[in-house]
Amino acid sequence: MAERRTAPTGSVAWSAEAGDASRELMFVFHRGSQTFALPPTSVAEVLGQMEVTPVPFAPAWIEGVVGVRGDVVPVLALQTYFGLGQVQEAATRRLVVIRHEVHTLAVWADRIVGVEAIEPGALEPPLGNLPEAMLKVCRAHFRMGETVVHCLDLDQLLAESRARVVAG
Amino acid sequence: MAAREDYLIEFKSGGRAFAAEARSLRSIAGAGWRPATRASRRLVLAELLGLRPGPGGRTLVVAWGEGNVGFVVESISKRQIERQAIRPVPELLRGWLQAPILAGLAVLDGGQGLMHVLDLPRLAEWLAAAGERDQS
Repeated sequence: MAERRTAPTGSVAWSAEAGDASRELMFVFHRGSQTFALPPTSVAEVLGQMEVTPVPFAPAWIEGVVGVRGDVVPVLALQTYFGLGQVQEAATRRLVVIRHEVHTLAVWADRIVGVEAIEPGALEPPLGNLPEAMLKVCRAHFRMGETVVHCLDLDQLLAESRARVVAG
Repeated sequence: MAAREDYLIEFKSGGRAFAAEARSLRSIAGAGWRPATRASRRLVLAELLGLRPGPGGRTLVVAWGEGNVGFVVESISKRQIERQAIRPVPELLRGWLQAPILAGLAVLDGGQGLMHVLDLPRLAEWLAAAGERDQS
């Protein structure tokens, strides 16, 4: 069972609360037909609509780059990367800026759920019926009511994305 | 004031704005910028970038092996962009690109706009290497 803690919106930078040590905090968002989770500490900020500049010679799953306070941030199109088909883009979508180690990237979220506190034992191995690209980068899943939330492993996502380019 | 040629030249290709470092160019055919240099080969840049070419009017000439290669673009802007506007290509993005064509990204309009700074000499080298790979 997941308990909601806070829901970041707009362009205000934020950080996760320390929380109950026995629970794991997850930043949860919807994209297309799927719901994903990230460690809140990896979410640098959530921005509104931004113009994305396409990049030549980039794979289809790189939507382009955005400028965030003078920095250049690549935007990874999760739905294309995972082969989930087209997403109806809404004006209310949000850009989630992710920092992982020395890297910064961004992904679109149709809707931000917020930070959920996951009880011990609620995390289960990834579902076996996921598309292969998704299975490779999901470390676990949990349920929020009827909704299945896929926990993304950022180490794996970055390593797999580079491997995919090298493999052509 | 920028040092001589320590600036970016903005141009249009496929209807989109790009830039290149002035010092990476030998000449711009038809623009009266530096003495004209003959290009042994001319390529339409928009086609290489996967864009629909517009009517071409200028050729950016860069060194290529012992000779030169020209990249045909649609127009050259009168705006010169200071080199300080360039930000490096993020390492993550560099690892995702299928060709080493970016010298950086110019941050414009107070951070609101981004423009690709193309590394045309490297693009020429990459195309030559790709051509050799295709023939082998």
